[in-house]
Amino acid sequence: MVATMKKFIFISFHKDYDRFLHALRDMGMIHVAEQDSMKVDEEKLQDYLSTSKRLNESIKKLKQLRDKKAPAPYLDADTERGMEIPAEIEQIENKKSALHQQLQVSLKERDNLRPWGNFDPENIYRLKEEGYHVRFFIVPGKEYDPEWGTKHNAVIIQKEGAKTYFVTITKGSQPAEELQLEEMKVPEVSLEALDKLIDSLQEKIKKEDEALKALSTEIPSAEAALKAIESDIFFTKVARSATPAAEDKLLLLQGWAPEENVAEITSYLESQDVYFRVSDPAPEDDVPIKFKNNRFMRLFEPIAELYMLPKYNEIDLTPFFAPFYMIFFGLSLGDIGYGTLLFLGATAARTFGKEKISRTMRGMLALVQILGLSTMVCGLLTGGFFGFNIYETNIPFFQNMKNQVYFDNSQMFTLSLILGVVQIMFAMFLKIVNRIKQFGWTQALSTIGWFVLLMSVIMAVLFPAIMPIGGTLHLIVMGLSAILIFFFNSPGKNPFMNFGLGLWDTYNMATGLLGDVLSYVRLFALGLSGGILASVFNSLALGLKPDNLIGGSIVFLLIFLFGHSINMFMNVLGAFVHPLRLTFVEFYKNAEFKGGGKKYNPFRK
Amino acid sequence: MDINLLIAYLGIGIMIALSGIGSAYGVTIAGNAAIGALKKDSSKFGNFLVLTALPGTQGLYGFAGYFMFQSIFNILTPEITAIQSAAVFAAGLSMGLVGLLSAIRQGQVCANGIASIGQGNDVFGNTLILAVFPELYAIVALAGVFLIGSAVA
Repeated sequence: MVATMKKFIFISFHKDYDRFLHALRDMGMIHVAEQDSMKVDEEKLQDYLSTSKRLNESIKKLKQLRDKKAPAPYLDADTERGMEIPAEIEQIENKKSALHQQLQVSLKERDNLRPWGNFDPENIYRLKEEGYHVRFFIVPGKEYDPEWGTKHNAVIIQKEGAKTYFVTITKGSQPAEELQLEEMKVPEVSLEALDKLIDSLQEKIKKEDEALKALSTEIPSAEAALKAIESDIFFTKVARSATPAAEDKLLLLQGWAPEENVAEITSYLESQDVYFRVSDPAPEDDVPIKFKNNRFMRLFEPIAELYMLPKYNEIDLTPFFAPFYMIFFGLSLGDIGYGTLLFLGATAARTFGKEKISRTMRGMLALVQILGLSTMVCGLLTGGFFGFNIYETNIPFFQNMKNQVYFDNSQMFTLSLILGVVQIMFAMFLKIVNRIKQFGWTQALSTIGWFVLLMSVIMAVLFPAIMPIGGTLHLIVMGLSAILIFFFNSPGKNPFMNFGLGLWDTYNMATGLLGDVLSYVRLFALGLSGGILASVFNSLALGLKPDNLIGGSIVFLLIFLFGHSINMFMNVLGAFVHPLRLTFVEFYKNAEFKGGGKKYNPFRK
Repeated sequence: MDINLLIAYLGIGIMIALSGIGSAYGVTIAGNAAIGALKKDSSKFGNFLVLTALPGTQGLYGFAGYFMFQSIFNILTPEITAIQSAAVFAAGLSMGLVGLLSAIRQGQVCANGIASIGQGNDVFGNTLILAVFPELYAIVALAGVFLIGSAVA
């Protein structure tokens, strides 16, 4: 069911607007119809958005940096501190990149210096002052002339690869010109000093990395800051949704709240001196949707939300598909053992993870419990238990049960089609109710015609004694429904138009219904293939195990566990998705579900 | 007759091989997309895993089909008749081809969904629903195999 909503119109004096919005937010019950009609400080909003983006990125980065094996404990959340974190990360990263650049340069220099060996450049300068010039040259090995040794006092320092490194020591004269070689620059630092510099740079980078890692203990602060910013963004968006009136002196804001909260809201708003009016929604209003289902049906709301929320004046189909979904899941999985495992797993998670799991997660687990139970019950039809069949055992209890509930494969085939017919007829019934609720009786007449026609065929097939197929009674019923189908499908238009539309409708029905019903075959096929694979894993496990007791049981267990884990994963996935499709396509289509409602999202911190 | 059994096993081979190849392709197409999308949003691995696994079922259907003939209908014996072997061959051919193509196509639907989720669109539920559309035909083919088998067994 969809909760009944009330429309609120608030009027605020422009000077009082900010205080009014804060009062509204503190109450946290009004869904404000957001629109973009007021000028707000765009710069401020952009600022908020970019801050939230930066915070998001920072949190992501810090989470990656966190030590997975021995995580340092989180510090307490502090919103103001959290705001500083992105800038701090940026600062550290800038420092790091500067250090990296420096390191690259030093590493390159070291590569250049290494062939010359470790010496102090000071000594070269001192020699120069005494008149002895030491010059550095690199030539390809082949081009080095041994005569240079006597001519220019050349000394080979190093031969590396194809290159020869040598120096000349001369008094005054310029061997570079005579040798016609380019002189290398005298290095500015010694190799030793450079090594030290590189070490210290690496040390510094490491320190910055550690600083970054240390920041990861402040993730809660960053998250708190993000939440605060998001709340600010929400506030700004709500603030600009007001419509100005009376030369911008007054501001009108439209909002929604569930009917059950109206009394509470009224008393609060009156205490806050807010002027407002409450009214019922008009048909053209875009009313936000709040589900209001009982405890069982509520569990299926996340499934309904996977598709679309209903429009406000539409019927919420959640309570109507829930029982079907449950049965369909059970039939598709169809193994008592898997069902038990799902049920026990979800139960264990609910009992032992009491505080840690969130409310939504608890709902999900409850849903898994129900689906597991349904699987256990549906599994009794075929008797599959981890791929073994309980009805093939000689236990009298099971033999007795087999006589009561066992369905063989062709019966399961028929059962899934029958379930399809039942769900589609039910959907058509809901379509009638929906049309009456939304547009009145006249728009529902042709659907009623179809419903009666199909029901009469079903009745005639099931109880030929009362109403034989093609008999007088049946023909009368069919004739009456044909009149509805062909002449009342769009009241107000001329009869020929109606007749044409009726034909078109008939064509769609004939092709659509056949396909829709056949689609339910999947329930049978999924259950069958899952059961077959499970039993194949069992025969593999039994067939491959060696003959001794210990080795045999180990091999059996390994194959059994591995096979059934894969099979269960694939089958649970299939059993989740396929009934989903039956619900959203076959059921929703025949119930004429349109959807597209917005979720009720009250304005709060 | 030996030739009958030969034809029947040819059908079984086609069924297992083609549907298995289809699933292998399907999950690979989706898996490749998932690896790419992980770079953009690594927190969605759970969603990607589920979508990647979807095209994996066709291969299982092919195998289940073989098992039906082997254990449920018990017709893969030297006493198999010509009609039975033709039926097995036809069933295998249809299951194999439908499994092959539907798994590849399903993989493409899943891959697009994964890419879209990676770009920040909230389309997990929609992709799940759309991705089972192609799979229906593999299921129908499996049901067809079952019906063919029950007709001749």
